[in-house]
Amino acid sequence: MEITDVPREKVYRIIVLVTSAIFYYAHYLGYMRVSDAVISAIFLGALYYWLKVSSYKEMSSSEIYQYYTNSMIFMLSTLYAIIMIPMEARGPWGILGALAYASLTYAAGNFVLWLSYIYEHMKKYLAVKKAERELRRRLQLRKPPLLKRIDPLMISFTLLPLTIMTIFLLIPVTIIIKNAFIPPQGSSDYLYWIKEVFTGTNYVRPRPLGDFFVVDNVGGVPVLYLGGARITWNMGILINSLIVATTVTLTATLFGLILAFIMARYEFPGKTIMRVLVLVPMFIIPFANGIALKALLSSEGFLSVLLHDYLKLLPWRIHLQGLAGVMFLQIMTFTPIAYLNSYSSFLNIDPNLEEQAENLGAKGLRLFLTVTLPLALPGIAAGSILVFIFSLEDLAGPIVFNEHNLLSYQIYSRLINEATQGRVLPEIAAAAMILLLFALMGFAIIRSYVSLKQYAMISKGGRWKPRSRKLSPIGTVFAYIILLSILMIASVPQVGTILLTFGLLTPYGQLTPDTFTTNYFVNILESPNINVYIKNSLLYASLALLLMLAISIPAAYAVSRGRARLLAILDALVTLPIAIPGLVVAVGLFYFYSSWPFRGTPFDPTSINVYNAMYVLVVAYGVRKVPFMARSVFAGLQQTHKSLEEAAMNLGASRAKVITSIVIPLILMNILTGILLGFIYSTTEVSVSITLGGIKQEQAPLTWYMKQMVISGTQAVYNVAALGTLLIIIQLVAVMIIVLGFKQSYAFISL
Amino acid sequence: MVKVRLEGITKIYGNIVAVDNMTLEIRDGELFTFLGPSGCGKTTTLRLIAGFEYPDKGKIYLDEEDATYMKPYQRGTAMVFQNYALWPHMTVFDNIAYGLKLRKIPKSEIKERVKRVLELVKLEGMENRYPTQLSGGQQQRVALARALVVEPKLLLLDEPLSNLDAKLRVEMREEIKRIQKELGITTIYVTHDQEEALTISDRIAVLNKGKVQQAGTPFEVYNRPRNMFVATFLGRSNVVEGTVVETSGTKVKVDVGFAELWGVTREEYLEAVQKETKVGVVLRPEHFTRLPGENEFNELQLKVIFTMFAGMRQEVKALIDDTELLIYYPPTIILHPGDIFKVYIPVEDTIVLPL
Ligand SMILES: Nc1ncnc2c1ncn2[C@@H]1O[C@H](COP(=O)(O)OP(=O)(O)O)[C@@H](O)[C@H]1O
Ligand SMILES: [Mg+2]
Repeated sequence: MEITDVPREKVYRIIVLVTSAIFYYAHYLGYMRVSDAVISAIFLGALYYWLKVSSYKEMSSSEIYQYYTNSMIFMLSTLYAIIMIPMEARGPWGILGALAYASLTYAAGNFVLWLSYIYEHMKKYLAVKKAERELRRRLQLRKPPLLKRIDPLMISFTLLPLTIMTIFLLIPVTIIIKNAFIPPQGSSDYLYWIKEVFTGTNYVRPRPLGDFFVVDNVGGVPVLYLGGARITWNMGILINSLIVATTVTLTATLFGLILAFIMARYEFPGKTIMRVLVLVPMFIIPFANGIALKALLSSEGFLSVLLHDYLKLLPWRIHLQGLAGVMFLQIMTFTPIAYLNSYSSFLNIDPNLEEQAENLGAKGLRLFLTVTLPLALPGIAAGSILVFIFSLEDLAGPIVFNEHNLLSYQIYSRLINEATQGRVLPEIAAAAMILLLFALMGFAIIRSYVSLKQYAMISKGGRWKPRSRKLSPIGTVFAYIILLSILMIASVPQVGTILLTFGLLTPYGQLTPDTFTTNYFVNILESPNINVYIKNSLLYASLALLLMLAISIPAAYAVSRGRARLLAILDALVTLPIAIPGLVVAVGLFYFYSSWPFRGTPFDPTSINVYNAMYVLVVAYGVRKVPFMARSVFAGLQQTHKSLEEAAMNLGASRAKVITSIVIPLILMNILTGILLGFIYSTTEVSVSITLGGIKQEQAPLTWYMKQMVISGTQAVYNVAALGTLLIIIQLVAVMIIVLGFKQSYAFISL
Repeated sequence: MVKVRLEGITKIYGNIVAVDNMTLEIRDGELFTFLGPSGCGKTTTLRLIAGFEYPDKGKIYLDEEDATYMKPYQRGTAMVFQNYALWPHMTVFDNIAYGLKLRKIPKSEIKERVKRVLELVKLEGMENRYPTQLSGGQQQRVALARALVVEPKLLLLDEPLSNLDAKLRVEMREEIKRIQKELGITTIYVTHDQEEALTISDRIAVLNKGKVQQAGTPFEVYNRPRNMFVATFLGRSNVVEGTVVETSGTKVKVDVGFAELWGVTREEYLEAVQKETKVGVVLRPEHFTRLPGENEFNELQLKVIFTMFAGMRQEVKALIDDTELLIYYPPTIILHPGDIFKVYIPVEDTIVLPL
């Protein structure tokens, strides 16, 4: 099952690595051109894998998974090679380059193998199809007449969601790709803007600007600036985005994995309480989370002062700046996603597999590394790739920390600037396309995992009693130390938001336990000014739910019950929005709505007079957040046996009647869960809300207003926090309904 | 009530032939069983008849009407599923009344008919329970009631008893037979359990690999198997190979090495079974007798290897030359390993089949 079982595997690996390092060094000394290096890398890799594949036959799912990840490494190292190799590399960079090149070689081989796997798979599939065709010919079979096979309801169930998703998702995204290739005026270089994003000094800096760690004296107090002081640390927009996304992904995954393992596999006193506490970081409070973090970890922040001045644990106060702030915030925000995915994968491991390994003598860490982790890996990987995508597209973090040198912020700021002028430059399209490319690469890797079909298999978890062990008292203490430290870090935003709301914490200041007030919270509920935004958001989200229902129920039904080839596309289309960054949707919709056939309609953001954000946001929320509902509905359908429907049909019910009298009642709980999730995600949507949603102030949603407050200054911070608290309350109610009402605690945000 | 005719039905999944050129006629009012090992295409055939799938070739007639491509809800069949497929969100009453409501039958009549069918399946007073509050046997009865209440022209049962325990299975199959006879409804019954098939059916079709191996009454398929598959699939049998030495009509004399046995073959094999051809001889263990009967018989002398006492009989493994045979011997005379004993088998029960 493991690749390392292959004899001589290690030898192949070393030979390939050493040779490729030598090649690179030759290139570095000027004996070789870049193209030669890349070609030889791919050649070597292919050779290596040809040797390897020829020595074994069957591939297990964990191996296939490895090829997926390796092709990801391949993409990244290609990028790295493109960035590093043309640079006049000196000293340590030369060695780094050699390493990068070696890993590129290695990954290239994996990529080749991955392709060969796909090829094999296709071949097998085609062989079966061919056998079927031959069989049909030999037995002189005909497909039943088309008219008889057609079920009008199934057809509309396929075509309706397919059409909506194509129009409002695929077409806008396609327009972006098209526009990314528009050459600048007077030039005919179609790749101009793409090259610009990959090589322009704004995007890729040869050397970082500024220092990451700066210690400075501010009024006699030493302050450690993370992420740079006056000049924020910066390696160029593209590299920054990748650095942030990678760091956040690795850290959040590690945190989530540890949390999940302890929660899934150990029994200890107080676990029920911990179960509730792990829910705290899951509340989604865009903007408020950043405000809270800033209030705690800035030079005047409560935690900085506490740790330095009072507890004397740190030699300086800590101040988060720029990229560091964004990273900290995203780690806190996205750890729950990693946690939920890891948690459900641990729960879904068949205990028999582990018990068998134990029988054979595997114990402790060895058991974990050789059996448990590989089995849970697909789920963990899916979670971490989601984190990667979410981090890339996150806007609230960069806005709160005023960090402009990130792809998401660039696209955002230029979109709103240029949108007012009625035209958006191709450079944004190029940047958006690159963002999309990274996200889609991730999606391709988890595609097999998040497909509706796969999901349903996974959600069958809980068939067995998961393995869990009682912890010794000492173990319990350790477990608590680990759990609480991660949880404390991850719930900083939520706790801070609530403290801010009730006046217990001041922005960029001290904890003030004596000034409890409900004024801020009451104010946002009573202020007619703010109420407009709350009402807008609630209205748009509710309408979006109708759209989501209209897409998900037919789509999930068709995918789970139908057999047409087209359904694979539909299945992909309703899960795809997870992987499409909101900003990409926003840019795409801007292009799309400002041209035929939407030009001059309320959808058209360039026709200010008739523009109505409601139309745009309802559709955008509906389409972007549909995967969450579709998955929920699909899981329900998967759990209801097909024979329940056939029994009804057999007794004389048409398919429409079967759906209304049997299917819908049976999956009602899943539909409701989907509605609650869709509602939470719609009310907290940022990307489209603060761009296209803010074109007319009176039509803007809540998140747009929160963003306005964040950039307007200190006092408004209380309003943002209070609105954050409002979001927490809304979500709390929804989660309570899901958890208590339907006993579906794991469905929440997990993929 | 209805007569069902399958004409050359073929159904494939990918490159698997699930049903292979099947032709059958199911008579009006009979209980007809599809019997065969798992994966032989029983369920698929049933689903084709119910209209959940369409055949790739062939025609299905209900009475003389071509029903091949009718929608399930136009066929007037009622199916009982292996997993019962009771709707968990409805009470027993609602489950049973569902089909009647679809037929727009007045409320009072629905009540009356549900009540009657519940009496028929002996579930009076369970109307307001939910399926999860019922035992397996009760669920089975509800499923049956739900199918019967719409007075279907054709009742389809897919391994209806396979989820019940052994004792209940016997009870329920008698029940099904009773109800079927009472209502006179044409019924197709699917099972892989030969005892079930033999006891319940008017006629049986033994299937293998999507093909009908033999169709006939339980007596016919058991005692006069048409081929080796049927001979070995049903009951236990000793199969010995030999060469034909003499024929006279359907009577055939076969040299099986340890003896020359007289047996009978089927009319259809008169061509195939000639002098010198290699054939198989099927000897069922229960056809051996301790004493010669009135009809013609073969006589064998064997040596006991070991015996197993099974209450109503003794199962004896015995040797004749190098051949091992299984013989059911009366339980009253105890045999011991090493004993030499004689048995007789009627010629009409010595089945000769082409290999
Ligand atoms: N929906 C399906 N898709 C693919 N193959 C199927 C499907 N249904 C049945 N088969 C195949 O057709 C054959 C017959 O199946 P089935 O009719 O269910 O057998 P039985 O009910 O006798 O056990 C089997 O080989 C089975 O694998
Ligand atoms: Mg079956």
